[in-house]
Amino acid sequence: MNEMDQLAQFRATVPPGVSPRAEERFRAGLQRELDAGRPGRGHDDTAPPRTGRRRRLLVIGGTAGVVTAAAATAVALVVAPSGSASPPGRSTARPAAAAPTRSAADRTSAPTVESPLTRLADYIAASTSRQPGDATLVVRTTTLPAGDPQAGTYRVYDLYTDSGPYYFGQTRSALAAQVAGQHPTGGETFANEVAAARYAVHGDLATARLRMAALSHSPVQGMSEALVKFKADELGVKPAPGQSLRDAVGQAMLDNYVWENSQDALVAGSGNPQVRAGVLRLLTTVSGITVTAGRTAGQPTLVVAEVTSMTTPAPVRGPRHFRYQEALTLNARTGIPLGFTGGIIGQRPGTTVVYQVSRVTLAAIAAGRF
Amino acid sequence: MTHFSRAEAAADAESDDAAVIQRSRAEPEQFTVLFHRHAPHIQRYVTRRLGQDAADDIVAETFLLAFRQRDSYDQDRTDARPWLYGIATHLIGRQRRAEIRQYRALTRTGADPILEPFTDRVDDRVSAKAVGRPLAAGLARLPAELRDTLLLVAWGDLSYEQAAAALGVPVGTVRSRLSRARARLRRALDDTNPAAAREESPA
Repeated sequence: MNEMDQLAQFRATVPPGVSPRAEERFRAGLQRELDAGRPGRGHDDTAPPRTGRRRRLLVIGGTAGVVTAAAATAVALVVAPSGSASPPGRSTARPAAAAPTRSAADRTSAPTVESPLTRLADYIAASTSRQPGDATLVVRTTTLPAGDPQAGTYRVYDLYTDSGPYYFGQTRSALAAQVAGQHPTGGETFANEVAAARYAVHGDLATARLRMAALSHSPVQGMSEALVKFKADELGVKPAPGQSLRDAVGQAMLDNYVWENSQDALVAGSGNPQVRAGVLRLLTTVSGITVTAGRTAGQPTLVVAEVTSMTTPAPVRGPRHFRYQEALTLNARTGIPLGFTGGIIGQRPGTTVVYQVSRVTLAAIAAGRF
Repeated sequence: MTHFSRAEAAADAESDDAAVIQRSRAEPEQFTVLFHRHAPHIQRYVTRRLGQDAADDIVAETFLLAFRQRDSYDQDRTDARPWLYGIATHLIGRQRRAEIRQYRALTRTGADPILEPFTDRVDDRVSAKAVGRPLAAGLARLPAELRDTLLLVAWGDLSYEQAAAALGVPVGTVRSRLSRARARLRRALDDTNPAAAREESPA
């Protein structure tokens, strides 16, 4: 046996095959590449312009924190996914802190009520009032908690014009200058998400979910069996009776994409009642979310919360399990977003965002009158 | 077992690598076909050199770098393996010290750290130990360019021409390097002194 034979024998100790971790990293990286290739995205500042939300199931961030309720808890309701076989019925008081993970059991056995999101969506969609102005200004105040490398409070200005272009400024004067100089930050930022929300108002919700996720097919299509199992372990997904593991993982991933991208659509389209109505309809399709009625500053609110069980490779070896929660606070009469909290349950305080939404004119913004 | 969608399976069966890369310029998701086709063997190659943890990162990074460079891919090259192995080898080069450490550890202890995840069978480990220990000593001694050339041929299953394309050198250089690498390795296989394992400087 010569040295080449011995090398071949030595190589044979390692079988060919892709590890789930390698495939996961490739797919996550490819998704980032695709996202970065979209017009109007790719900024990376401390107080950045609006960009696509991370799809947490593909790219897991390191932000930790306790999720604090943005509104006083009155009654928490588990929302049945639209099209679910579960019949509408009784309501059950349930504290927000006990919001469920998106397990199969949650999807099939949670007490259900007629979704307040559906009622609000129908109410908003029926609105015929004409919106003033030609753009929506969102003043976005983000607070990153102590312990975060960029801890602090940042206020920035997003301007979504009705005609498409998106402007961003870290100060009022910067935004005014951008608009006056007609230097938009993005062309059609969140156009796909907003279009999907509009479609969802009257369209087929299964199709709308794929559109909101910017997918033409299930996220698990083309995924190896090994990666499906890896994702199932990572996300704590257990299939419902009669459901394949692949389908259960696909549903969990699609739920997450819809949840994340719907938030983008809701903020970017916050000045448009049809967009808000479509987002609310889409949120009813996300399994296991909770809706809590409450009040903030005297205004009735709905807090829509989503909890995901996750296992992610830590910087050191060994799995890391945690439950990540995001909560979106809406005006209960208009569906306009008021705030967001997100972080890991049981750890240090998480990220909070306060939205102040108003309809404006480009002329007023350019003149600094806002 | 790898699951393919019907579209991917069809593309996999009918298209050479150049066609897949060409298609991925308009449909970026098509690049996953290339991943499914070649990643299993590239992962094996990198794993044998650096271990599984590092291989996970390098395999993913190899295909992402390739994805970013796909517009400049030479469409006359129907087999993308030299291109992919070249990228992987370049990335391995950044971790040359780690590679040498693994060979030296195997040489010293006879325990193959790379093999651990793949087999629980004692006879497999004994067999690997018997073969691997002197080989590891020899590989650790080789200059990087000789080791890269030798292993692209021996472990990457590349032809001389393909190895030349992967490394960006003339075929004659590959022949010369391979000859020198094999001669050094033959001598090393007779060396039973584990402490002698060290990387030599390029000639």
